[in-house]
Amino acid sequence: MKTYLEEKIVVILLFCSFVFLVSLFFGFFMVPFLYILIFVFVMFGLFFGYLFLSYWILLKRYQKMISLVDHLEEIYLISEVLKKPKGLENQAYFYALKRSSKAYLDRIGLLETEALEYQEYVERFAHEIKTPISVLSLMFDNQKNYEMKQEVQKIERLLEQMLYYARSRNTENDYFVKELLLSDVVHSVVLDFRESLLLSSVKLDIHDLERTVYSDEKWICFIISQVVQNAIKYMDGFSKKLEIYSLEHQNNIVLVILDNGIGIKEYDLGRVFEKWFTGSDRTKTQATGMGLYLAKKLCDRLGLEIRLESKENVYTKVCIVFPKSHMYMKD
Amino acid sequence: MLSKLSVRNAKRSIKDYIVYLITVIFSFSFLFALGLISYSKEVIELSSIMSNFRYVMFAVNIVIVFIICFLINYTVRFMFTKRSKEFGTYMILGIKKRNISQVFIVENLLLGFMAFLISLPIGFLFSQLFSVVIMNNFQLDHIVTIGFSAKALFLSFIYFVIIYILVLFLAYKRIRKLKIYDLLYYDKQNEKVSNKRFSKIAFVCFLLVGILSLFLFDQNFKYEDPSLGMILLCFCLIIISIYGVCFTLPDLILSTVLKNKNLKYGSDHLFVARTFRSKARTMSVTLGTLTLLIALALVSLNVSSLFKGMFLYQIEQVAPYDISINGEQEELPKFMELIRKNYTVLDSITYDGYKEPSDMFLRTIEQNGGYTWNQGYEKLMRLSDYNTLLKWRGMEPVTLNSDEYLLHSTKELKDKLSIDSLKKITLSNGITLQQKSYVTKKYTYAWGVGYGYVIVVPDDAIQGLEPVTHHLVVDTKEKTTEVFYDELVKVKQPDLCEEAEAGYTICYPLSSVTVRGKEEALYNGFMTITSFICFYIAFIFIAVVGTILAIQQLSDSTKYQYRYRVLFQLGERQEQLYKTVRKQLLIFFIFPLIYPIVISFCTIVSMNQLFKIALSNDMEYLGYYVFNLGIFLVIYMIYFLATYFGFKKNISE
Amino acid sequence: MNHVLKVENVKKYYGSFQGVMTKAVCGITFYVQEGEFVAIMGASGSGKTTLLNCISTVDQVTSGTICIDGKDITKIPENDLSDFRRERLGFVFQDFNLLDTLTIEENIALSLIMNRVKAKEIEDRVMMIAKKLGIQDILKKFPYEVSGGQKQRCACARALINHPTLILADEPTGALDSKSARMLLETLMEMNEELQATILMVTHDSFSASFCKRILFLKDGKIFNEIIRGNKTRKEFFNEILDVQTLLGGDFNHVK
Repeated sequence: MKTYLEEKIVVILLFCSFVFLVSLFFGFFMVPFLYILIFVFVMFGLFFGYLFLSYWILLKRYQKMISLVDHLEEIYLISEVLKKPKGLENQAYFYALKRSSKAYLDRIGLLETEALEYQEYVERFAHEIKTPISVLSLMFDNQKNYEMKQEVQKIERLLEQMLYYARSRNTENDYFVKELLLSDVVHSVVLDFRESLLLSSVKLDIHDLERTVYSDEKWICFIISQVVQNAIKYMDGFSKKLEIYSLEHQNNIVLVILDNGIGIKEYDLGRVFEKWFTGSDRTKTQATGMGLYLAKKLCDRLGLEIRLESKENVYTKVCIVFPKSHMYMKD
Repeated sequence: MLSKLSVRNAKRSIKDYIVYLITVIFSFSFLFALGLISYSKEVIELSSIMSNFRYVMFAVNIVIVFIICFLINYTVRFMFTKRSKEFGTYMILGIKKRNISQVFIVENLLLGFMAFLISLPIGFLFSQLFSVVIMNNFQLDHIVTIGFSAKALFLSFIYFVIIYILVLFLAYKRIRKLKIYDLLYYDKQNEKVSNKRFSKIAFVCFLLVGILSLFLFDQNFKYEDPSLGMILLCFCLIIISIYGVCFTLPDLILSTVLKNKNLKYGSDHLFVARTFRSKARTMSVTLGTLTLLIALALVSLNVSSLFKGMFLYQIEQVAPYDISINGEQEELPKFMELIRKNYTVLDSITYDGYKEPSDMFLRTIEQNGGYTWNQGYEKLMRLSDYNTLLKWRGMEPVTLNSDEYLLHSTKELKDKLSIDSLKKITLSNGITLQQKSYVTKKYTYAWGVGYGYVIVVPDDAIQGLEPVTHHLVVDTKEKTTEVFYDELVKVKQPDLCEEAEAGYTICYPLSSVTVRGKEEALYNGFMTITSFICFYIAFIFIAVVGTILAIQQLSDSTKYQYRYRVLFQLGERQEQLYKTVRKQLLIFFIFPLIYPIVISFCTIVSMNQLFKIALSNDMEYLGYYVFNLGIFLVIYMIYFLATYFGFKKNISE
Repeated sequence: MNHVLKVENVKKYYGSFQGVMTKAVCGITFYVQEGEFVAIMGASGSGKTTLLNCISTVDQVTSGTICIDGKDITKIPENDLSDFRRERLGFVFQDFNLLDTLTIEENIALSLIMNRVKAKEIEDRVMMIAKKLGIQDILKKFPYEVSGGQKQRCACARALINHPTLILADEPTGALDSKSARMLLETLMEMNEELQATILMVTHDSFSASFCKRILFLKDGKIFNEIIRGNKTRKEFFNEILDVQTLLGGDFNHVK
């Protein structure tokens, strides 16, 4: 209210002086005092009534607009929602808003198009390069050169990672929820890694996976494979053990992947899911730092939780939590 | 549920019909204000005439109630057609027609009652305003606050009830007759775009009828005896002419536009002309009625001004001095005493009229067809007395040589007395006088010497002539009153007075006593009543015309919104579009204005011939005419502006 | 061959004052060359009318550019837009949009009047175009006196008379019976072939679309498919349209 009155202060002052002068004028011409009083009263009544009414209308409009802006999900589209205002200055602002929004949206559109093109290129590249790699893999298989094959498989996995990274932005299209048996999922992942596991002589312990979860098969496989990949990579010592099992609680099912590798330093624990994070130990330069980042990102997309527990040089435990919805419960 | 619908619909209707509501509110306010005034004791007591105000108001209100009823009925019918689809939908949903009509009736009643309630305080304020004007008319200084009168409120309420009973009854009947199909497709009834054109001949015919009627009217007033029958005939002819012109003129305008290629294809002329013609055709009867109302309003305004001028002039002619008395020599001091008792005397003069035993002037008048009271002698006035009396009226004194005289008479007598035989007169005392000049300006009967004319001679010329009449003229400081007149008469001729109710004394008028206060009261009373009535009628008529025009156009703006959308889509700029709208509205508002202006001007000129005698200045009526036209145009313009902005708002959506 | 119409990455979102956002057009790009007869097809709600409104400068896009005759109409101020529309575009609507108070002749002349053509020229040009479209007999009649087909031809005449760069038609056969519809479409085809008019037609009717040379299918605010008539007969083209339409009803991501 105060700001409004301040805005109008010139008009108010002008009006008051006008009424005052006219009253003086009347008084000079011997108009009875009662008439002057009535005149002043009526004039002020009308004027302030008008002021108040216009303030009230303005306030309602202002509040409505503010609440609209606050409640709009995509605020940058506000210029499409607002009605064209009256008043020269307001119209100028509105014009500026519309123009600026359009310019920005044009730019964003451009960026989106570029990103889309890039993604398409990446996909095409990954698709193209799969052929020579599978050929290589088969060739090494034939030659029973499992070390070579392992390296080729590493290339394959890196490719897969790249693809998933490129696609992780537009996940809406590629999402298909299904009923999954954890044992099936884990077994398919382990099958992929059998050469690596054999070569690194890791002892596998898989149990308690007869549980059903609901999610996208492809992505779960990818996530688990990233974790397993890490586990295998960071194990040294003699008795390497990889344990995969699941726990059931009231509200969720937890898939646990436990290894007795070198573990993660305590002060690094908070940063493992960051992009490009390869640990404070700078000796391990082969890591890309993307694995756990992607795993976390995809878990977020799928609505799953991923947790990491570790003790340096003792163990690393990764838990993937599948929430249980009562809707899906089959009795 | 139905009542909730009614209330909600009433609220929504308000926005569309604000202009109409405001007019109705103001009409009711005026009704109430004038009612309050007519029941106010102080106002009634201002003059004996004012007590008739109440009855005159009553008679006028009958006409006004009828007109307001017309307006409300028109609007209600309009609202109904606009929402006919809505009602059709209700009927299809199974709501009984009876319920629907109830809803509609309740809505309108609510709106009307709300308008009535709002009009009460406004009317109260107006009554105070009017009282100030009345006081001003009576040239009184003090203020009178109009008190609240239950009778006035009751009367206003009765008017309201009558109006709405009529309106709603008509609405109910209309609804009963309609079927679902009619309702749903009511708005598909397009404007009449028939190709049938009234010939130009028809237009010329109707115009001639109008001219004939005006001519007859003028002839009627040329002679001093206007016959009522003739006036009525002229009135009928004018009505026929107005309607005829309203039917034929739009066609004429259109064909003019179409004939001229440049006009036809220039900017938006085609669109405006066609739209106007189709609209005028659709509401031709209403348009004619509106034109008629405007004509009546203008005439009414001007009549009141004319009367005002006439009254003012009359007062000046009859009683320019505060008190003037003819009497016997002995009576005059008695009067003087009475006057001194009641007022502060600023100045006074006693003078005589001198007897000239010949009656040449009187005979001349009689010979020329005038009427006189011939007592066988003329009365002469002395120059010095004459000059004093002139001085009191602010006029320049006159000089006469010893052989000159001055003749001063009314305008009417001028043609009877301007003959050569009177240019040189010889008095009985042997003195011969030449007529120096013959003045008619500002003659007044109050001089008392002679009736209708006065012969002014040099002071020496009255030698040997005996004074026959004695006069007293007094200038008082305070204003004289009607009551004092009665007291003077009582002194002069007590048998002319009688006691009436409540201590009132009514005295019959006596020509030998003139008190300005009484004349003022009389004429002020007439003037107040006439001018109020005339302005009131004029205002109501203007408001009704403006409202109906506004409603018609505003509803068109939503109904025919697509026309403007088409124009916009074809690439018309928004500014140009608004210009087109302006042109359209202007021609629509001005069309019913032109003919009435002409008619009212001619009637005023004609009527002025009658009043010319009374008015001091021949051209005075022109001034009044322009002034009244100005008032009319201001009110009319307000409606135009309201319509224009409403229209703009509607099509910019 | 130059592009008469370039639509690039156009998006149009609507919001009500309550904040509900409708994504009518979500990134559409296509080009129209001079002399083409293009149809835009799609179910109601696919955004085709919105797209047409944006192209016809009646509405303003949220993002993207539209170039007509080389001028980017998304950057022109509003008053100049009206002028542009008046001079370069012609419209044919589903409900004819003729002014009911004007005769057929005057309706056609309207676009010339607005462009301030000299009065002498107007009558000749109107007569010429009326003859071409076969409506010279009804010139003095009013719209309510003539059939729907004739009204639509009057609308076409009005659209054509100013030699516009682009003619936009919004469901022109929507309110016509089959015979009148066919006549109108043949008229449009003639306009395109003989008078070299570039026509962009929005329709949901496959029969109407089959008269065009090229068809863009819209679904959910994006271009779903595009087919070209080439050398096919109208009947073959019609069948192809029907095929795509059945696909449109299905659940596919892309059919390229």
